[in-house]
Amino acid sequence: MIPTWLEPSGVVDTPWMALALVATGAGIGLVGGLFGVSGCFLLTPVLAEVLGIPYLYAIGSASCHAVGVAATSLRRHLRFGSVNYQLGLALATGAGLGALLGGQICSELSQQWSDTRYFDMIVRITMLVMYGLVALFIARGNANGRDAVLQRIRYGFRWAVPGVPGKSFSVPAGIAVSFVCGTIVGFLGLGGGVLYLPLLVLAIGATSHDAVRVSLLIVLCSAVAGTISHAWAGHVSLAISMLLICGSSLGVQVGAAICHRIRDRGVQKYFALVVLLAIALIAWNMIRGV
Amino acid sequence: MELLGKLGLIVLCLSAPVAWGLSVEWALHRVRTHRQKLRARRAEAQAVETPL
Repeated sequence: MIPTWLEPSGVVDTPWMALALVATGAGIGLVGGLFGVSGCFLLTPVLAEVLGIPYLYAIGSASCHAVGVAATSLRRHLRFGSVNYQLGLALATGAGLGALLGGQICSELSQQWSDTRYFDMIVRITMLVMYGLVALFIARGNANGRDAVLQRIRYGFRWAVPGVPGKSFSVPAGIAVSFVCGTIVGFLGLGGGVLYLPLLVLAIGATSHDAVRVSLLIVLCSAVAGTISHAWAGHVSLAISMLLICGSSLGVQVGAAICHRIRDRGVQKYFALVVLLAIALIAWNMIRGV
Repeated sequence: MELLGKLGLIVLCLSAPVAWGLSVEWALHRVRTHRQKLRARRAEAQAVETPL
């Protein structure tokens, strides 16, 4: 029997459920390792839609899980090179404050109705809109060859774009966008790489090589802020998070090994399919009225 | 007391996943290093056994 302070949702009541969570973590880790992301954007919908964990606890626990994943990934990446700390910490400040606000919004909204279906509906709609926009943004890319959006904004002081000589971007605009991304991350319990990478590559115009490490630093800060916010409200199930991270820490190794072998065959294009799978999963349960 | 409990939970929520993730990473790193050493030692032994 797990104490309530460790597992407030009361869902992990059988060894089978614990095993299912470890297996889910392994699957998410495998997908994450395969595509070079944390995989948390898939975790919340899978926890809620497949395993039946209430969205409120799925969000808090996924956020806590993201802290471990981001710290481990950042540690691994730091072995191969340094991070642009100036840019990373500036954007992480915006994202961290946003994640605190997002977590607070999540807690406030969950207390608005006694019936959790309304809260679940809001989370599902936000997820569908956000995933759809991200997929659209990635598909559209920067095909017209113009400067990135934040390079064209002339407001406030400017910093050089990492890895791209002669280009600069508006720092206040970058922090504002990272704040908005952080709010979404805190609200949905994501890792945030799915938002911060497009922000760095497509909106700021950084090279993907530099963007990955900076993005991991931002993910870590926003996941920490999101976890603090959700844990303060008592919506983090540490038991769920730890079972997930047990599986994902091994799954990510397998995923990374597979990725190493099949990268040449263009594995990256299947990332869009995984995002579509998440959208389909949420939409299917919405249509069924579950 | 309630405040202390909440703060304790936050510290636990932040440190436990990081500690677990880093320990697994460290253990895997040790295993990899050990295997590399074994491979190097085996190659060295083979080189000694093989006459020029």
